[in-house]
Amino acid sequence: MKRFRLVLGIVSMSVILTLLLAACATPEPEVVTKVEEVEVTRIVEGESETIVVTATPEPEEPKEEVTIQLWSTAWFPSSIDARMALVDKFNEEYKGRIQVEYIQGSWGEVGTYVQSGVAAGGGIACLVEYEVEGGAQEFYMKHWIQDLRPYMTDEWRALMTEKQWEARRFPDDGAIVANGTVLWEPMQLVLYNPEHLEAAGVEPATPDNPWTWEDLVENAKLMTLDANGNHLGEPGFDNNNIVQWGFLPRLDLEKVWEYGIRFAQQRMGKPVVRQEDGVWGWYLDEEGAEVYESFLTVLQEGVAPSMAIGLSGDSLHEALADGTASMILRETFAIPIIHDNYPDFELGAMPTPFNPGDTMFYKAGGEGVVMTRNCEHPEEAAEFLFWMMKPENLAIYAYGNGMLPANYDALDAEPFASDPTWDIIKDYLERGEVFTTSYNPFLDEFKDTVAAPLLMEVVEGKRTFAEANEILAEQANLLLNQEP
Amino acid sequence: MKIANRFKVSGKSVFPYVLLLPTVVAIIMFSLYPFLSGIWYSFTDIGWVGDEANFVGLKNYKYILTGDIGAARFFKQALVQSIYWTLTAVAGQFVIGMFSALVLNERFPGRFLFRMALLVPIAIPTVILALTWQWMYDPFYGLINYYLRLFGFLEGPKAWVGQPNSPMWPLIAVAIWRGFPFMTVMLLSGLQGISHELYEAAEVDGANVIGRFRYITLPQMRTIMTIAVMLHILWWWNHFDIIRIVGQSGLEFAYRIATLPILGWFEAFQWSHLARGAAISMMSMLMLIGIMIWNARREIRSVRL
Amino acid sequence: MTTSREIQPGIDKTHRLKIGTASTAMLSQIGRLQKMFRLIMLYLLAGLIALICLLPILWMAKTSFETPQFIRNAQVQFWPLQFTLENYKNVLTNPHAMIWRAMLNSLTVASIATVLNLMITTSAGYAMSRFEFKGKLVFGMYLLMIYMIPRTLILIGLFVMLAKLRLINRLMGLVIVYAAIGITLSIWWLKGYFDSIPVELEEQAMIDGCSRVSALRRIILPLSMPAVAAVGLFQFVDCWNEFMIALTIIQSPQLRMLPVQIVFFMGIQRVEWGPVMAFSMIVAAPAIILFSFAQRNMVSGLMAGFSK
Repeated sequence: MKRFRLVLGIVSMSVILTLLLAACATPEPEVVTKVEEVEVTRIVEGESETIVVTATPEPEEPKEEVTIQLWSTAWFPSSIDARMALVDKFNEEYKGRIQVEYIQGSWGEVGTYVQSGVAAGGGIACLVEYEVEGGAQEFYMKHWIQDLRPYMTDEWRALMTEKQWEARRFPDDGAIVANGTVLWEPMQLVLYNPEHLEAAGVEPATPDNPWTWEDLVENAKLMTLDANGNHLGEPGFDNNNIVQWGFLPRLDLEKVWEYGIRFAQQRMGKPVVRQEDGVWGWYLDEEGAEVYESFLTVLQEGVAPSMAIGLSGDSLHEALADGTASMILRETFAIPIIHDNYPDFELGAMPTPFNPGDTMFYKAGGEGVVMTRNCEHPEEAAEFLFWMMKPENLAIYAYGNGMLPANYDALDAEPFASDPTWDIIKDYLERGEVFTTSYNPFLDEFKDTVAAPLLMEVVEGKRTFAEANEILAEQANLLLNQEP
Repeated sequence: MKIANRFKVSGKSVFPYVLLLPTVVAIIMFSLYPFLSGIWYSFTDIGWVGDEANFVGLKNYKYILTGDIGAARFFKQALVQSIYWTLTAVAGQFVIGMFSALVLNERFPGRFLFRMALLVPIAIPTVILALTWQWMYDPFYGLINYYLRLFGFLEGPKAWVGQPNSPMWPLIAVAIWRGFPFMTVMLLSGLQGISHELYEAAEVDGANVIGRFRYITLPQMRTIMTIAVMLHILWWWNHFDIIRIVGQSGLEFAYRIATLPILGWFEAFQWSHLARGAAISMMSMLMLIGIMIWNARREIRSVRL
Repeated sequence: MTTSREIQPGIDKTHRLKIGTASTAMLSQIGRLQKMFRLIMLYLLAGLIALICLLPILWMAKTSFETPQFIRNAQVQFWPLQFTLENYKNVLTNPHAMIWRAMLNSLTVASIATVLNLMITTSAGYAMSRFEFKGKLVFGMYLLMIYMIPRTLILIGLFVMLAKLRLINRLMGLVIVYAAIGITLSIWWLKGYFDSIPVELEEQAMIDGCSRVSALRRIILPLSMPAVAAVGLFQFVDCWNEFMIALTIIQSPQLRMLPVQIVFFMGIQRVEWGPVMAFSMIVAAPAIILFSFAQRNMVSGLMAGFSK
């Protein structure tokens, strides 16, 4: 017994010691020096000849290869693949100078990640992908990321329109908080099942012949079918036995805010949440209110089940692909996802409702890559930020992501150039006019505590939109004008 | 159960203090200091980690208790939710726990297998059980809806969690599932301390099963029942993970199921009002202490006497 | 635990019943039936409880072994429609999943934290059990108070303090936090357990010439091994399963803990419940196995601990 305990003691002590040593290791990113054999191109007598040399550490090397990390928030296969392809391409071109290491992160954890990194004084990636308005702007306000202006060249600046750069500017000191990767508008589409439309005798909307919200609802009714094939509005329609739904929007606490505002702003050409005479508030004019209300009350028309409240994007794709829904309201990035998950399903895309003859406004802004505060190689990181915005590179990134590239020239590069589903979006860009919004740090609080609950009540029919609008305006004045 | 005689220690011996030293240090550093920091923060106006903290007195508390914008709007609702959540969850855990303890107290072969099964809900990481229950609650292909449809209670798909207007009780069901094994274990230990002779005597006196339960089991178990219930109230009042992972999708603030800890977290980390979040957590804690004291009032009275 | 009540000795009425032999035989028949009935009832009820406990696990297991196409299927049963190991293969070989690394990290952190915790709490529990000293009651209440502090309140201050100590994003930081968090509960249990070991043993040893410390080492420690092991196991599983703090403190992917890794993995595999459940099974399995091993000791240890 005694010996056993002795042995146990020694074993556990040694295990503990080893583990302690392992635990004390700090997570330094590994500098890539794994290459044993290197292809070196030597120029010999005017002709280049490639030979293979074993690499030995040469102290005379002018610059060591620098590795920076990119923390990615990609979340579906084709977007991840695209980013990795981009990183590989960069590493290829910048071999020996800069190498980028791709790290898979998660959209929901960006705040925690960056915050911890700052608190730890470093040790996290130099580059992090995130949204600009609620993300990068906020991070800059909290001094968690760097201003990119010191690293910007004119060439870099020229890669994006001024309006888009303005969307990435922090209002107080004019700092540029992120580069431009993809845009969030225009991004909304109505994806549909061509067979259903054909069967109902409905012509899909096109940019030249758009639908209004009334048209959408009417057509959706034609495609809301019960088990006997009768459509909504027809006599004999069986309300308890609906097998096909005409239109499935996304209506949860995020989307009643995001989508509604998007539609309203599309009409108004100005931000809904903005400053008027220096006072922040919720300003919806008549047209904006009309659109917002149409969007929110779609459920009450009966073309979507009450269960549509809270459905995830994936459920929408599923419903479309298996024929339960004829039309869904989704963003452009749904297209590659649906192609990936349901390769046999033929997808149609059409523009979201707007009045013919109206100007289509879209908001500048979207996503970008930020440089964290304690980045050890800011110059090299900036180089990547610049490189990735070039048309041929950004096209890879944006296409895989299913979103509009921040640099419009990328739309002319592959793979965008040869994909017809993007024509609608290209058309938007041509017809549309861009506007910018300003940053308010209390937007999240306003959305979560006032706007989303109120708007949800409108969706459920517990409150009229007019009422909600009034309360929103009132509360916004109180909340959004707090001192930071 | 013998009660150990305590060694009487004269003021000279330092041994117990030596033994306790590491504990005290650890607690001071990792519980007390953060706790006091939290309290301090609640009296400042700090917005996020790294922000400057200026003393503002009771402003945050006033804001939350009397204000009606931002988090203050939801404070009373969150309080009610917290009470509802804790009470229902612990009650459910107690009932099912007591039932299980009574069953598993009986002697029958293979009893230990069932006891092993009992420990499974405790052993699983919260994240995993949250994911699994989310999958089970899936509106289209979930297990629960399948059986509901099978028995004719449900027609089409129905989402129980994760929607803005989802009720609380599916989450409470998860909480009960998660918490009752521990209750069972504690009650079981109490049951096994009751001597058989008492039961035999009662049986002889003509008491049936229910009578035995009421007049012997319950009184004997009173202490341990109080302890068990109090412990569970403490745990589940402060509970966060299940509501957050199963009940919410993404970073949405699902205001209909928000309890005080959730509200505090959102205020601190989502809406960048660290100080107010700390204030909410403080008030949550004070309420918890109040509930616990009320629960244990008998014990406290006996200590006083 | 309250003292047992006095019952009248010597009166055992059942034995006093003297009935004829034939009736006794019939009675024993009925007795056996009654016994069988009781047994059946017990098995049914216990089975129900076990089923409730195990249902989600079974479902999780089924999904993990199910071919992805059949996961979303109207037909629901507890055996896979088409058994496959591909989900597991996916998870175990997927470079994004980083499962081995995460497992190693979790193992490291949980082990060291548990050992640290036990070292601290065993001595504290012993002190609380065996000694009367000034401030003991206050200390006990103080421990209870600490336990009541909501996590959100502690998290903020903890984060800031760890940042100052440069322990963010280091495994050591996590180890220390875990060791500290588990202190209160461990002390309670161990104290209770020590209470149940009669003091006479130590007194005897000390009379025989041992010092207090060596009495502790030779007598108490071996005796309390099962309880200490049980508490240790519980702490280990707690650390293995912990999520929120691990998420906040560890940022580098190569240092991530297992539960956090699941969340990140899910971000990639959003639609696929198969690999996610497979991953979950892998994470949950050690905890469940360890728990069932310790089951006997745990229950007895807990029993002792909760009879304050």
